[in-house]
Amino acid sequence: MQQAQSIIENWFESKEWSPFDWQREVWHAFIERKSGLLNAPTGSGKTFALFMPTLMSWIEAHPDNYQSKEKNGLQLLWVTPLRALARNLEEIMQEVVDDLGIPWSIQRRTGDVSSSIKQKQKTQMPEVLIITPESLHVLLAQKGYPKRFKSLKSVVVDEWHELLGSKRGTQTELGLSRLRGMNKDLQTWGISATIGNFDEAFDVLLGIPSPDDAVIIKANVQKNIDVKTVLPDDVEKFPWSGHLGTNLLHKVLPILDKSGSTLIFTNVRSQCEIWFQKLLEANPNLAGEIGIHHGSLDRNVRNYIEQALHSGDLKTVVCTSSLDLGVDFTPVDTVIQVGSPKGVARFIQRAGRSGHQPNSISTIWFVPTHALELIEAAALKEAVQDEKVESRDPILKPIDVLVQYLVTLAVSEGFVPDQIYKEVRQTFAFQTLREEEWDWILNFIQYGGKSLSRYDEFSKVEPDENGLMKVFDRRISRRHRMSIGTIESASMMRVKYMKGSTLGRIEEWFISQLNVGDAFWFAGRNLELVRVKDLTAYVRKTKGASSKVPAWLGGRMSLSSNMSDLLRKKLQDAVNNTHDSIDLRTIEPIFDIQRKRSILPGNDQFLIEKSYSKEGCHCFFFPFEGRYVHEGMSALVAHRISKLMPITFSIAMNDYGFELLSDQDIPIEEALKHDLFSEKNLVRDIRGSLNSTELAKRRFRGISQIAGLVFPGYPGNQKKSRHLQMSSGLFFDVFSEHEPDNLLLQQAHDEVLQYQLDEARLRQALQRIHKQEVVLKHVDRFSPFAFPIFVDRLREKLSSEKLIDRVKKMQKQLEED
Amino acid sequence: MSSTFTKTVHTQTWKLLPEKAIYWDERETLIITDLHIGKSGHFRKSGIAAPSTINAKNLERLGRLIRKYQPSKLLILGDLFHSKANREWLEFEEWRENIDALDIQLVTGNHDLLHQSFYESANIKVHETLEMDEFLFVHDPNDSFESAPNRTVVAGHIHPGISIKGKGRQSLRFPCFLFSDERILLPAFGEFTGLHTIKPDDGEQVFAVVDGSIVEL
Repeated sequence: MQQAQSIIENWFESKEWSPFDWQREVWHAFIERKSGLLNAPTGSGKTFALFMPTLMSWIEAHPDNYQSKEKNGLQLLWVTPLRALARNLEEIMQEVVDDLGIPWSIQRRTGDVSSSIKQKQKTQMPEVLIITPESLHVLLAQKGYPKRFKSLKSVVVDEWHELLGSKRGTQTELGLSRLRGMNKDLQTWGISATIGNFDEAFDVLLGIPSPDDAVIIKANVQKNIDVKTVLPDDVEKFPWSGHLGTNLLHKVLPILDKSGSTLIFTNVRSQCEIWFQKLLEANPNLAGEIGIHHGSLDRNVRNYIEQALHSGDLKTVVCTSSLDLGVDFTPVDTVIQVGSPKGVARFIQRAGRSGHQPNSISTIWFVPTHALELIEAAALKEAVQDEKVESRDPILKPIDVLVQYLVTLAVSEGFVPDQIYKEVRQTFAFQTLREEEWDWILNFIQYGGKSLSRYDEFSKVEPDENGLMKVFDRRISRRHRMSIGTIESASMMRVKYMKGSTLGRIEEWFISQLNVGDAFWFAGRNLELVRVKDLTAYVRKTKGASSKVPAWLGGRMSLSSNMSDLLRKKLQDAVNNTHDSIDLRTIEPIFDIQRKRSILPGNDQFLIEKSYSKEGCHCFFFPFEGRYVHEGMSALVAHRISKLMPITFSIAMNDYGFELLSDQDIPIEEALKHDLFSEKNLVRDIRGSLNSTELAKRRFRGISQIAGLVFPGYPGNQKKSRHLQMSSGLFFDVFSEHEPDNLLLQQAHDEVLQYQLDEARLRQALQRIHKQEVVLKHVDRFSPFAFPIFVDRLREKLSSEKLIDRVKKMQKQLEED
Repeated sequence: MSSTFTKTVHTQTWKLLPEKAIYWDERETLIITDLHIGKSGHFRKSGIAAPSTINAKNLERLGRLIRKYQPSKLLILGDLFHSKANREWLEFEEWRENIDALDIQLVTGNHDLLHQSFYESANIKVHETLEMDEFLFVHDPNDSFESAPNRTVVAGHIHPGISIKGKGRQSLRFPCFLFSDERILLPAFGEFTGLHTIKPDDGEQVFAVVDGSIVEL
């Protein structure tokens, strides 16, 4: 090993670097063929920590011919969540092997790699393959995959924290279980940033049971983050609601002037477009040095922006989470966060995009979009100081992902159910998969669920003469390969110039609201819709004055539990007036109004405000627990009140509280006598409250796509598949009526409880409320806390009135108007 | 509460039924549209697990309706069968044999692509459009047709739904019938078919299907 290590150490020396101790520690563990998880942030040299020992092992095994031995088959599989990272990794690794004279081939296998390269990989795998979880499954969907992985020795899962809490993580687990099934000596490593549940991340990566000698290695790289708030000059004129933040734009301009390259993070794509547009309007000199980057833009457009940022050609880029990850943008020295980042980890991650030199200070500016976000500013500062990073909870037993995986195996080599059952049970996600659940899944992919019809022609997976489960219909195989993945996609329309390039994709429903000739703002350009054909919107540039900005759905994240804890703490600080926070001092005049119209609730109080408007009766509740918990709690409270009398609510919420609105008086006083916030029968009451089951229906959208019920269409040829497209909502309705025991349907209900309403947190919140004094205030004018909720138009519904009575009431109201 | 709604059109008595059908008294004719038989079968054949019971349930609902009103004629305004022939057609044929006395007339729609012989064997008379009294029965109301003047077009295809709003920011959506002097639209009879929300113009009357009742809006 001496020889191999000195070759690598020499290489470091030639670059005038020296390896960190933790890098050497990883090398030694890796060479001993241990598996493990490395805790290291982006830009810390984590790639070299895990790529180098692969080479060392190789040199060690082939001391005489490591510089001449070619076509060695796959040695290392490097899984990354992001295609953009893959290209960067490929370059770095290629440079190393070129320098060392090792004739290895380093290749990518991601969605954007040309099909000729993919074809070549079928016959000759490179020594190192960089891949996304989805592409790994695409490989498993190819005939003859076992021989391609035959020589594989190690897998590295990069940015594991990014994958962990999502179904992409489960997909990774399943992929690993198959690779381990083919090679029980496979070595697995993960790389993860700091998260609250690091030990769990380790268990999920390594499977059940994890190897005895697996290790955790921590790089302990300190990053210094300086958080500053962009404060409004006159907080009394600062809006109480809103999420755009453009009224502080004039105070952002001087920051841009004083900074080098700057990233401006916004939370949603529409906000990103608006900020780009408004910045240019405010300072036309920015033209040419400012760019826009978000997930709906065409890959080529995004690549261009990333390159220009990397080279320093662009000074400012307005972006969304699309740049949370990705290659190092060394020139970036300032980061601006517009609006609440909702979580500590995300904020720290974004702050880390600047100041890439070790030990340099990362500066991040927080731009509040409304007054109450100043409390969050104070909370964020404390969170960053104490590194209170959230957990990423792994997804448990997602049936949809397993259905997709089994069909994947069935379209390639076929699978033996008993063997795969064993492998699947060794993943963290499916360790508790019961035999009857497994049988249901097998039945579902074979017979399409229970069939009562004698004439049923369902065909998907069938056993061949050897009992291997396979897909025989080539069209079904083709469709399946096209739709592998777990990222939910709405029906998208390509946006394209009349002649020439594609700008990106927009949700179909937005385009359908436009008429030909209408102007809209996209990709930082003012565009006119010329015509729509075959799911492509043809556009040209326009100077038309007013124009719409696509409002993308899905931008409604919830405050993490860490953030809500801190938020309540800061509120208490404000009540006690025992702080020296500039943010809290700035918002004090708003707190004064809150005190005057209602109260400023402390930790021992639970505030409810009741008031009337021409819309009806409003009740506002303020748990400060984040949107998701409020979603569950509001449904619970509405349901319990609605049991007292027939009543209909429309429900709105934000991260601070929720509102019940009814056309009739809400008997809140009476409801409070009946232990409104009891934990008893929580699940039953929540399930009952979702009488419209709207939430589950929405969850089912993603599930039906992953499980192959809803087919998004062939790329560029969506029209052809139209006859097989049916909205997931209809599937949900017919399953609910015809097959209520369908596991996918149950999964939708379970996901609502577990992930959306966050039952565990909801329980804690109810326990907390139980210890608080409930303060019911009758207010004449909406308080600063209530106002932002009141103006939210996106509302849930809950009713205990008969449908026909509601219709009659509505009709009567219409006539009275 | 009576769950149907009786309407007089061109002196004829039309009962709007909450089962999403119209019963024409004088002619003893039951009118429905957009049954989309075979749709779940079409999905299932392609490996997409739509519940296989949808078809049988649709036919069962239609059977119940026929027993209740005992029409001498069933008029279907298109999209009877959803796709190319699949085995759900056999299910339909069997169902048909049990009510072979019933005269079934089909105005063909965009989905009715089956060969003529299928309809013949099921004893269904097929028309592109059909005129009866003052009415012109068609599938797609937006197609252009030749007919005598002042005919009221009766059509399917749209799968009309209506959204109504009330105080306290409430809104609800229901399948509906739409009536004006020029045209009458029926809601789709089949399950697993979806709704298309319409915005009625002045002079158009809307009848929503709410919880087993017809409600005039």
